[in-house]
Amino acid sequence: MKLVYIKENACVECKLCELACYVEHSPTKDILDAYEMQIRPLPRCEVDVELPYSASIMCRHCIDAPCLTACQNGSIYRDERGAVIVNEKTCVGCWMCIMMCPYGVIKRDRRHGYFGISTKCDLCPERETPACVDACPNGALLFDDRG
Amino acid sequence: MRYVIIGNSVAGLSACEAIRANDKDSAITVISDEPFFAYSRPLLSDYITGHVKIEDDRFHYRRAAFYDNLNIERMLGKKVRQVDTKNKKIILDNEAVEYDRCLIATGGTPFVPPNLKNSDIEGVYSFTNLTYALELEQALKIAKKIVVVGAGLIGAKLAEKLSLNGFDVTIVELTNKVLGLALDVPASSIVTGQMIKAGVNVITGDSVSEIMGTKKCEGVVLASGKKIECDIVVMAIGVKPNVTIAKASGIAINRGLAVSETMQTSVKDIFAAGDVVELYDKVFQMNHPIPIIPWASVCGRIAGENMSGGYKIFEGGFPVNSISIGNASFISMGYAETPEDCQEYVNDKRIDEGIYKKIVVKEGAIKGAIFMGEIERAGMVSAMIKDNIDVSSFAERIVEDGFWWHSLERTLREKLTRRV
Repeated sequence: MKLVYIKENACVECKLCELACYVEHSPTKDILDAYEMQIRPLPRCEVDVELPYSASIMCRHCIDAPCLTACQNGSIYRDERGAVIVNEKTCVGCWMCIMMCPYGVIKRDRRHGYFGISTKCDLCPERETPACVDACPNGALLFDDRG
Repeated sequence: MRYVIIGNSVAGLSACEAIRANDKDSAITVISDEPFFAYSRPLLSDYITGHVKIEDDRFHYRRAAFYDNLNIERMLGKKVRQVDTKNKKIILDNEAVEYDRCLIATGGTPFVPPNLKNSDIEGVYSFTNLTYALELEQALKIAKKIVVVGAGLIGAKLAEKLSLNGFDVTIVELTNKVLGLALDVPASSIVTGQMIKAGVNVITGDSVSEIMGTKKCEGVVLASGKKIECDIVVMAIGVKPNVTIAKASGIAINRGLAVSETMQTSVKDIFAAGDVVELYDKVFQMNHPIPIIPWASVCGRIAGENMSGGYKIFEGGFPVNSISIGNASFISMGYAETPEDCQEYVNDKRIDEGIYKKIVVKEGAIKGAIFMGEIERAGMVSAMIKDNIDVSSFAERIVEDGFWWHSLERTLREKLTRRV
């Protein structure tokens, strides 16, 4: 499978990856529509900065994914591409996936009602290359075969 | 090959998945005394308050087509009495099922103190499975006042939810703090605050010594002498391994059903996993039951792999919990209170906002952690325990606001990235 590889020396902390991510995960995928949404999608990648370090960080889609085995109701599964996906329709926001994620890359979205939703990178199932990779102006994110 | 799985929950079904991945043809039978599809136990209190229904996908551990897709035969609502280990037969009430390899995944059973007077009268409930939850649901149709005994994970969550649903709820906890095994004093105070805010009457440092009533529960008497009237008592002191079948079958039991690192019991071809077993705890450095979903799933998978020709071992677990009470979401693991021979790193700068972080370290190894309010990076810490990472050089950074990949040395960052 292909994975987004993070090159920390190339990141210029412009955060275009975060912008591209939430636009891609909005209903119309239009930047202005997405910006004006009352509940804007959370970006699934996030730029972590402590200069001189900066990098955009997102799910590593682990081969033996601890989030998947920790899930209390089968809401995390592996799709045909090999990506680890949260079923947002059944997730109950118990955060047991967060409890086991070695990378700290799962976010809590508590803006949608009684149950919270674990939100993480889905490798953009509707695109050939994830939006963050296409948006990066400096080649800090590479979509490449898992080596 | 014929596989029989006793228990229809996390460990049992995880084993089924692993077996089916290795063996497409052999018969797999799942037997359970409860008649239901496997469900998500942490959602029982949300079921009680009407936020999830039995037919909802999210209430189930796997989706409806699971058993058919994996070609699993179900024998639900049937009680196993014993495993005839000599003749390789599972003995049920009026029938027997042959097996070549068997998994005991019978889970836990509620602990009720043997000396508690009247604990068997009407109006006293346990709350560890759906059968109990359905009984409690019926009783709640006429009840108004409820006493929950034990402020552990199950009791605290149930008390909060019932109180928010309009019941008059008192929770009685023997130790001096709620969620005492999972939280230290400052973190526990935050949760207590949330429970009080939800309307729960929280009593700590006291215990129920007697249930009042002759046929039906009328209230409880506490060790301090105090009396509380109530219609219902929910016993939530704790869960112990459900070793009834193992015991009747002559399989070795210590604190829980004893298993090797491959999840094999003392008897050949009989494996065990889930809340029924004792596991090696790499924080506390001993074997004991660690009844949580992640290890049940991991060990069920390991058992299934080893039952079907593969080889995998369990390298040890540790207690780790994630729960929300009101606005207080927390993840904690290992030691909650800092032992004398350990060092603690605390960030309580924003404790007034309900944000509190602590790690417990001994000789460079993390022995415990509490993340309250901001929990997103807690998994990095559980992974560090799992992978025996030496945190000596950056321990204080783990509790800092914004702790993430930048807080790690480059070599560790690269190691983490490579483990995909």
